[in-house]
Amino acid sequence: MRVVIVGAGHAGVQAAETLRDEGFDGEIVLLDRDARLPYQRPPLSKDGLASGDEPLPLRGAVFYERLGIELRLGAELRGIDPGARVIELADAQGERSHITYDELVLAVGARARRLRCGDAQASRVHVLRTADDAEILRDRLADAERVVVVGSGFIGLEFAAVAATKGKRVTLLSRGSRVLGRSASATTADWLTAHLRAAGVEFVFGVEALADERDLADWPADLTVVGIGVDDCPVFADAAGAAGLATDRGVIVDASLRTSLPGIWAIGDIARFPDARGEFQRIESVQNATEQGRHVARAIVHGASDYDEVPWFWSIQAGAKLQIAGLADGADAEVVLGDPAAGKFSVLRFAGERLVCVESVNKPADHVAARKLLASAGAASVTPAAAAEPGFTLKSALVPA
Amino acid sequence: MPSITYRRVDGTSATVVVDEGTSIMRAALQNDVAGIVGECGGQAMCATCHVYVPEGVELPEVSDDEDEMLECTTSDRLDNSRLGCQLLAGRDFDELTVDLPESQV
Ligand SMILES: Cc1cc2nc3c(=O)[nH]c(=O)nc-3n(C[C@H](O)[C@H](O)[C@H](O)COP(=O)(O)OP(=O)(O)OC[C@H]3O[C@@H](n4cnc5c(N)ncnc54)[C@H](O)[C@@H]3O)c2cc1C
Ligand code: FES
Repeated sequence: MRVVIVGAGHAGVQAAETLRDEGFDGEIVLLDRDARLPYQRPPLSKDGLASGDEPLPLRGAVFYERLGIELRLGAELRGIDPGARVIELADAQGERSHITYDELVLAVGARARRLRCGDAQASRVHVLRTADDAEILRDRLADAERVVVVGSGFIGLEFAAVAATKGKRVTLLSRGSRVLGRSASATTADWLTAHLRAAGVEFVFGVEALADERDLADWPADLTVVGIGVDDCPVFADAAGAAGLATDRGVIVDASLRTSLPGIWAIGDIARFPDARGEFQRIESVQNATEQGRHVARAIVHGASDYDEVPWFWSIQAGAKLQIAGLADGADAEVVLGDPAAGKFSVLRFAGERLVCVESVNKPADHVAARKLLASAGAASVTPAAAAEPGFTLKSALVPA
Repeated sequence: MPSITYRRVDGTSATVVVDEGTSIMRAALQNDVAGIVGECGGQAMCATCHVYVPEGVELPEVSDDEDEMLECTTSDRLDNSRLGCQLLAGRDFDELTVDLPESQV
């Protein structure tokens, strides 16, 4: 039996490892279009960008040998023939080859969205997704004085923070009226904005949606970076892809992470999966990628079951550590624990009476307690009223009274 | 060059020679020493790089961030618990032996 995993990022590498941990002794082929030893992405917009360290490998080179994982780098997926269970690959020279599979795991991640540009070769606007991107940006940043960042999501904020910390004049353009419009509460977003302002980032809110690089004419800079989310479905660079693979801003999977085609699974950034309440989510985080990697491997070895893990995420911006547990869908109330003025607090977010998400700023212990709490039945006892009681802590809520 | 020895729970061990500035966490990943995960990439935010250091070895103090994260380790925190991503070869030690915990996640 042969399992082929396409994409050797956080999700694909974990899937390969867990297959062996769970006793799978067939062939594992792990492919990536990137020629580098698979690496961790988060440092690329944080200390890795600031320091110039080599990318942090996900695993050492000998790991793949030791576990008998055939790692093929520089191989890009171009098409799937689901009937014959064959995929088509192209190497860097465009040379085509084919490989058959019994189970296929799509772990191709996301691709940074770019602004339209008449001549892609002439583009002067950068994105930040890969180690190559990070190396180019590091070089360009060294020489730049004026930096413009488009987009107030995590990558835009983190890049702006690094640039400001290096003494650059940084302007961040945000479409909305605040940062992290989709991903954090206003309380946390406003705190971070103030924190980054103090670090030297200038914010411009309410900027009209930029579609084309020419729209940036009003914002001259030595270096322009866009962090405006990811492409809808980057599985196939060109070819028609796979007939019958259901996609909708990502690859659609069922609760067990199966795609619409037999023998094909999708995990990590690319997968749009139903959460416990049946709502389809696409989550871009290391936790989601690694847990789904583990999950799919167990499904292949032992049979399918529903994926149901509490999502969590982190970000670092000019020394401030933000950690988020849970998903804030439907949140309509919040309780703040700790003291934002002192730079250490957690925002508990509720949908009605139900605790759905906890954002912690410089409170890692709160975050860890929140993760455990959200995964346990104890979460039900944490209502807005209970959390507002004096003396309430997340840790105490974990221990049933 | 500095070196790090990782002692596993089963009594076996692995020694790796590393460049200055390499953390105990990074050295384990680079050299395929199982038992350290390093999920957050060395930000003192995941506690999956937990190690025990020998008594009596002089190392920099545990920072507030590290202290808070050490409260969250999967295997028990002991007096000699540290986060492997916060200790750098060459800066904090030249040769060091650490004990790996039973589990990280
Ligand atoms: C700069 C940056 C900072 C981030 N910071 C954080 C953070 O602080 N915390 C956090 O939780 N998350 C963070 N993330 C998100 C996190 O890195 C992703 O969610 C995670 O990498 C997803 O893992 P994945 O395996 O699904 O995809 P990826 O890690 O993107 O891996 C996908 C792999 O597939 C390969 N591939 C793509 N298409 C093909 C093809 N057609 N053929 C062959 N190979 C292909 C790619 O080369 C890539 O190596 C960050 C992301 C970026 C870019
Ligand atoms: S690697 Fe995450 S705390 Fe050390």
